[in-house]
Amino acid sequence: MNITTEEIKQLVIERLRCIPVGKKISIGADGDFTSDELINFVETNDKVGNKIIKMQLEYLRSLKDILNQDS
Amino acid sequence: MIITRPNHDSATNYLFMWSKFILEAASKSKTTIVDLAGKKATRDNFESHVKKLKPNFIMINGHGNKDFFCGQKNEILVKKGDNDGVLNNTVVYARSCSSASGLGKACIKNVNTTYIGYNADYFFMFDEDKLFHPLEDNSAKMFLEPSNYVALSLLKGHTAQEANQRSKDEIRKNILKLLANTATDGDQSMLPLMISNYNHQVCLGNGNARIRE
Repeated sequence: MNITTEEIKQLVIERLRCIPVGKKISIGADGDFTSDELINFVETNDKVGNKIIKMQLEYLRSLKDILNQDS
Repeated sequence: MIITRPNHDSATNYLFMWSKFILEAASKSKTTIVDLAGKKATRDNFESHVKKLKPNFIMINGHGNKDFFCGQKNEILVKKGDNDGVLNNTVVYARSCSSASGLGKACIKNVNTTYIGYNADYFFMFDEDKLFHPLEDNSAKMFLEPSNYVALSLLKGHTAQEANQRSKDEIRKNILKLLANTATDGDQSMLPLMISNYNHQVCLGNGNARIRE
């Protein structure tokens, strides 16, 4: 099954909605952002939004590998 | 050791404050410390202290990108192809975004240099209510405590490769904690950030280097 770019964006946005109110994400020199700000960046294909999409996809892909490592 | 601790924005102020534990450990181990804190974190100061002290360990806190890392108000301290030779023959831990991918790779052309850092952005989450009390911020703690382990392990006498791995083991422990059933959705939203830091924290060059025997 192929997943479209729009579906990926929607998935990432749903995940970003879980960031609690009052928390911010620090992304180095790009700045510190709330959940709403990050969602806006993803929706508008901003540079920070693309970083967030990449990070969320990397998370989904590498979770299994990390769990499988010997501690 | 030389440590840089700019504090001109929220992110650098968190790194500034959480470096306290590294300074305490260095002090206990009788390590000579040059603390380039706040306005002292300038290129001139950094270069002159490195030349004078010839430290075997340099800990960088601050913003960066693939080719450089910065000090106070984002003044570039070391840039690939410009003054990267200043890091020769040291173990560097750069808690800054992406600098391992360009600057770090350039530095390890000197076989006696070790560069621990990140080959992508360095992320952390913090609580806006704790902005003025970063050490009480349990969200930030999940990120900054494991990264402190790099320096703390080096100060204990571990090799650079071991220090990097011990730090990554601590990130992994926190990842597993968050995957436990007791973690809320809000807590679990830290997972992608942690996994990115875990995947992109690297030790380049001489992994057998130690800063003390």
